[in-house]
Amino acid sequence: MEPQKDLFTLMQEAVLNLKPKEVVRLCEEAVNKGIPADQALERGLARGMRLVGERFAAKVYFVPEVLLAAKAMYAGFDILKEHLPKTEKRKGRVALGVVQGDIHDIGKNIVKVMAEASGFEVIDLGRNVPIEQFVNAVQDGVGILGMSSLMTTTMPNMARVIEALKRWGLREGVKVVIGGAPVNRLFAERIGADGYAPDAHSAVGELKRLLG
Amino acid sequence: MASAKVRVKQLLGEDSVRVLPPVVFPMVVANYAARLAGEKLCRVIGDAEILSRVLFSSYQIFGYDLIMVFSDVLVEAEAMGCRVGVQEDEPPILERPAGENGHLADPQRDGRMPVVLEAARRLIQRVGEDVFVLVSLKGPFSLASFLCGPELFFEYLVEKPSAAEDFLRKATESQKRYAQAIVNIGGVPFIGDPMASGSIISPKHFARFALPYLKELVRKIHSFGVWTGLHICGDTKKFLKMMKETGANVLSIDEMDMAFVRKEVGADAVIMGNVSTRLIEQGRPADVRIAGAECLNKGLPKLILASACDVPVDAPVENVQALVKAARCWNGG
Repeated sequence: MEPQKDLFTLMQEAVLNLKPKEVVRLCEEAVNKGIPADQALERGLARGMRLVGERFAAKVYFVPEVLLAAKAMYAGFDILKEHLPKTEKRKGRVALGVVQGDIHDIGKNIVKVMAEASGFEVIDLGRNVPIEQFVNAVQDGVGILGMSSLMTTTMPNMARVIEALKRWGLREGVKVVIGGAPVNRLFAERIGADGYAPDAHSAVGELKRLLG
Repeated sequence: MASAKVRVKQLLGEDSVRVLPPVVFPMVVANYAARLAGEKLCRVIGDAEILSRVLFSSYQIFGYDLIMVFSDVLVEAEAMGCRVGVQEDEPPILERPAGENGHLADPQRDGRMPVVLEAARRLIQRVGEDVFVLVSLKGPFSLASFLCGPELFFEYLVEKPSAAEDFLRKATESQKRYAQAIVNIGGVPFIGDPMASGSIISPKHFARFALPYLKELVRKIHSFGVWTGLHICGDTKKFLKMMKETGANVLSIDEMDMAFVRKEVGADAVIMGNVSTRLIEQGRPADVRIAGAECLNKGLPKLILASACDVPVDAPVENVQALVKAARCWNGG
């Protein structure tokens, strides 16, 4: 077995086992050994985060475990990012936000981590995001706009954002994907979204599909 | 027909006497009652008179068998020192957790506890012997997560359990006092633990960080000589046996197959639930009645027919009526 593969496997396991310090140590080791940072990111951290996503989908992991895994991944990412090749090709820019009136952003944060781990550049608009701010983000140039809402009362704000994008002539240039507990595919179709994801794991699949 | 209070007492009794008509409670709380009365939510949750008035008028319109004084999930967190942001017509939001500075709440003084207690007192004066007035009491797990800030709290569960336990102990102590104050004015403390949901935490974490504190709180409430209930939102399939283990007299269950719930908790447990809130919001009255009848079929005799969670603000009045009718017209199946 080549030694690099061992280190990647250890990184995956450290993310999967929710060990931030271990992740940091392994990333430093990778840098010291001259292993390319993009390799360590993709074959180590990101792969580990995908395994976390699978456990989450299988209801083996829950929200606390995913938050911890994300913390571990970011700790490693902080080490690696200075060493990433400048020309690295990112998959695309994605803006994410929780619609106005809603502050439930744990789900959005999980999507953010998974998307970053999969090579997307994420612009985090935060929670309780006004319509204009979504529009501005699209105007600044993103490939995908992701919106979520955890409450039935704030779901209509997603439709309002899409309407606003149309009014500003921005709708054609961006894909819109939505999610959140009360959201379903039917609702997504009704308000004219391009994609829908029931959970963080499938959200990344939707991002890839929409940019693919 | 015997009063609602009498029928609930029968249901809670030892013997499995058939209570007719079955007890029914679509979980109408402040936000739906406010909408129904044409009041803005921010006014309702800050004023005892308005809160009691909208809840009473909803009770009169639908004629269900319980009243629940529940304004929002942050009442206790605010009273213990969290900063809460009030919005015009949406539930308040947690702006800044209290953290280490969180203190035991004085129910007569802190935050909106006095508003909730006064609203409950007025409701009890109005309906007294006819119907139990439940007052929402947050489960220690949820309250601790608000005090600490949910994300940090979840990290503590995995990385630093002793820090999570400090918050849990403080939350439990404070809730014992609040429960006492609720009982003192004649209310029934009804525990809701939305963050201890099976959609958020694992059964292992529930067993360690939610169950022991719920047990302690339920024991304390029983020592005051009253009954209590426990509602947990989301997928609690793997929590059902532990919910029973808390000792709560009524187990309020979110959307899942009632036959499965009955099998898990046994014939003697009083279940409250669990007609889909999405159906109540988007279905037709006939659908709601059918779903209600199905629940009754699978859950009786020890069942309070209810919505799976709070009635959504946009649910048509006819659908809430349909749920009540499902129980009133029950002919024994």
